[in-house]
Amino acid sequence: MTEPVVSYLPVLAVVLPLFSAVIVYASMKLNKNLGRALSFVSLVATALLSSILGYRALNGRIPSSILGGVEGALMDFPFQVILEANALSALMGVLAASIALVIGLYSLGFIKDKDNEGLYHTLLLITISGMLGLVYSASLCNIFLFLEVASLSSAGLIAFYVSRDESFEAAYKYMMVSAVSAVMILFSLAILHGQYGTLIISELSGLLRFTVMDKIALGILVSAFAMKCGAVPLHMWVSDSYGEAPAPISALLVVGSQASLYALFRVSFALTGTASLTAVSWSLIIFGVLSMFVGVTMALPQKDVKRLMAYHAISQTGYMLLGVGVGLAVVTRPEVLDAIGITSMEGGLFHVVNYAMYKGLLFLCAGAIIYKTGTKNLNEMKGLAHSMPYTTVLFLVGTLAIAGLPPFSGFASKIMIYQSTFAFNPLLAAIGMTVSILTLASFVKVFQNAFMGRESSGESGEVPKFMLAAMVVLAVGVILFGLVPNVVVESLITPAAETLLGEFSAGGLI
Amino acid sequence: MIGLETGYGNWSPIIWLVSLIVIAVLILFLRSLGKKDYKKEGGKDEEFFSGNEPPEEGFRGDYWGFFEVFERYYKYMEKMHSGLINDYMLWFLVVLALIVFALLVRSI
Repeated sequence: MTEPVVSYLPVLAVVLPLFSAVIVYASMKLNKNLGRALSFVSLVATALLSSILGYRALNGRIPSSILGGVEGALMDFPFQVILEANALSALMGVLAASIALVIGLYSLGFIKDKDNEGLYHTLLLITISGMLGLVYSASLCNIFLFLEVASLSSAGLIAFYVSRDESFEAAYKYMMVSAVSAVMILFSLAILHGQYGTLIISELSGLLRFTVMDKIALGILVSAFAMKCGAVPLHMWVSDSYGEAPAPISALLVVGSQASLYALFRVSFALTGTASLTAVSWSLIIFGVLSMFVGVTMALPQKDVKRLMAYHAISQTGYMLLGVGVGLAVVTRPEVLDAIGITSMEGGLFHVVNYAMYKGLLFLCAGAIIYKTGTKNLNEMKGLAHSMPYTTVLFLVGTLAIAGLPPFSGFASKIMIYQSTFAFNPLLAAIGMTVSILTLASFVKVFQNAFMGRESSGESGEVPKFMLAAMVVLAVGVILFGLVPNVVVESLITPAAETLLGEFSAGGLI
Repeated sequence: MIGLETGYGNWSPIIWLVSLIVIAVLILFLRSLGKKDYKKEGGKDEEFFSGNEPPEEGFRGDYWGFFEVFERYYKYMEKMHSGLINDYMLWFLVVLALIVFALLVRSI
């Protein structure tokens, strides 16, 4: 493949699902099966493009693709969309596109023949386009733009069950949170652009003088992205949105939160100077610890299986914040960085990948349970293992992974975080391990309530094959990544962590 | 060394799995030495609460002690999670103020 073609791969990966969304909506009006097939094929093609991009990015930097930029053509200043792929963004891109593909497969069974099925597939494709645009963006302006695309379409998906007031309320809250985040991000971009005349992250990283205004802009960006990724105490929208959205959309929202987390990490590394390092790194660490503890303790008393999982999602996000936060805290101390910092960052980034898989699996299992029982209340479920044996096994795989039990993938990333944070501050590692125990306790109760005991006299039988196949794919990923963690870390995670570190050193500070 | 470098040591899932199989075989062997006439009837597989009835039915029942100990924490958490969007925004403003203050404190 020639270089000019390769440089446009990020553009293709973003544009393909966006244009397909329009075609799928029109096709659904003509023939539903055609619309479903087109939606799935678009997701397969997007995942393939992202994978090729990922492969190329790992084997050398891909040149940026610049769209627009003609002065005077749109406004008085050139408006550009700059997309690029490096080891980190490509990893996030492959993750987002792959999980979206699995969600698409699951949706073929879950959402079949429901009202507004066409709109569902259309919004799903627009959301994934926004997420991919966000992760491939080289500029803060483009990050803002694609974050808005993903947020608006996600809000539509959260409100999918239009007959339920709770869905509307959850979507409204999600939109409000997204709108406030967006306005604050825009405000900080205005501050930065006003001073330096650019919003390209690599250029800003080298230009920043860390003035009072720069620090205000950085504080706003960190807070806004922390809210979008659901860090405690900015997490309240998560349980509403994840809890009320259709189950596959909850899994998609997990990926959306990961994209915001990615933006938070990039901003934290690229725009933080030595003077701001302590404040930003400890903000991430405190967000992480609070998210881990509050998330899991709030999950324990939940009776709604979706809300319970939403709180666990908050808790798991804490591990990633903690891992990368510790890495950032020691970034200017080369000997400590080599000893624990890089491992901690690798643990945090590896947990991003693992979390997307096992949390996606658990949300899809929750969807399967709701699909068959028609209830989200754990007290109304009983003995599902008798009628849903495959779902039971798949749920167990997700449970063991989220609780960090070996040999599943969650364990590998968690042990990297525990051991490296222990050397940094033993209390942080102790909190992490306590949270894992509480996570296991919570899921033991869920498993006991929903799957164990005598079978209730409700509708029995397994979910449609498409749904089962999607869950199996994620479960295989969870097991495989747990069995060969060294291969995954060496080939995917270490280059991503080095890219993130490179963004910090790009500022000439270490 | 096969496995993942974890900072302090090395994690090998393969070695762990082999160990697990060996331990499982040992457990199954010990179990086979047990009484063959064991019956589940008579409440032997019921939850045990020091001989008393479980104090609360339902999902929270088995962890009632945990919730009793953390009662004040959970009361505060319930108050914090009001479901009101105004409160969400208030928390955002508080966090924003704290982070900006922490960033600026070295400049002042």
